[in-house]
Amino acid sequence: MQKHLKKFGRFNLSNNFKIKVVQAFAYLGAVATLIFWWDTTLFILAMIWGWLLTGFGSSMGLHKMSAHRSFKPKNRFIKLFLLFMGTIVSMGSTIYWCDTHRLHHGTSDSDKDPHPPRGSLWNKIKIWFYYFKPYKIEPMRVKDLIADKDHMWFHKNYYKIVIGWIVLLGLIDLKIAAYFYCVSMLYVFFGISYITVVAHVPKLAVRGYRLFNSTDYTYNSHLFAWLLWGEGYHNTHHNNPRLYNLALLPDEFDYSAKVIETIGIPFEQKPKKFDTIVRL
Amino acid sequence: MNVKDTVLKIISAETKTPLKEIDLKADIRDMGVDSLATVEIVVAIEEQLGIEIPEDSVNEIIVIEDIIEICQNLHS
Repeated sequence: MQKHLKKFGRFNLSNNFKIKVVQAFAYLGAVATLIFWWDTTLFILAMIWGWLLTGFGSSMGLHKMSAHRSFKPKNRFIKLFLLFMGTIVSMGSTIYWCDTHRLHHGTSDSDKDPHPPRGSLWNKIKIWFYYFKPYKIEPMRVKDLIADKDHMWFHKNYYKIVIGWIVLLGLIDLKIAAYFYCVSMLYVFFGISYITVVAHVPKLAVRGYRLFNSTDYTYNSHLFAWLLWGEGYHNTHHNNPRLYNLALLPDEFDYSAKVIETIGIPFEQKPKKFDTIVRL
Repeated sequence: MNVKDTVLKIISAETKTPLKEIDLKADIRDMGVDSLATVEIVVAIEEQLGIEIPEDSVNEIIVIEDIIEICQNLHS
């Protein structure tokens, strides 16, 4: 009986489902805000905040610092700041997100990829909204992060931080919460979905090009590198996951690298020699 | 403190189960230890005992006795 009670006590909504609920809240809240509560000034400010969240939260916090260890923050304050930004972008904790991302890097665009944007348009739309087929979470893949007490703290308090952040903004003003959580999330989600889907589908490329003739379908884009803190150089990233500066050509510019050099100690920049420039 | 006591102390802290109530034959999942918590326990044990538990061994852990046995083998 006690055993059954313990099992019942563990019954809970899946972590994945809860993350989706928060994301759906942000999406629906953003759409409702833009339709019923339009404010040009707040919209522009929310997009700027979304761009900052993309840089410090998604790109540096989740991606380069946590998933790939491309740099070490110069001090603990910077690390906690990046972890906080990486949490409020609502993609799941660093431990959860990096597990998926590291699996993706090892299996990119193959059947084992947790989010291959292949097949029908409907499949691409599902992946755009992070509706992935079930895959095995493997905590050993993120053992280094589990061993880090700061990452674990943010993981264990993930929902408290995200909901606390929304409530805090709401206490200032409901309109502030609507714009600086929901609407700014549109920029963040667009950035991550672009990288997850469009940056892996060469047919959708606008002036895209490949430097590395790898087995995946990734490509680089100047436009999205500018919008997404260098992350648009996705072909370069997939072939050099630990690079903190993804600009390899004279006309490429990864401004996140300049920020990383200021706030962190970058991992040694040793890019592979690229094959040739193939315009798409 | 020997290997067994160290491991049990870590499991007790992780699962919030009093040391005396830990059943060595218990399935760790029945104690609320999911795959993430298993790795948390593994990391804590590695730090305390100065060993490295291979990934294959982690995947073989079913009951608490398994963890103790793996650690004793590595520690010796």
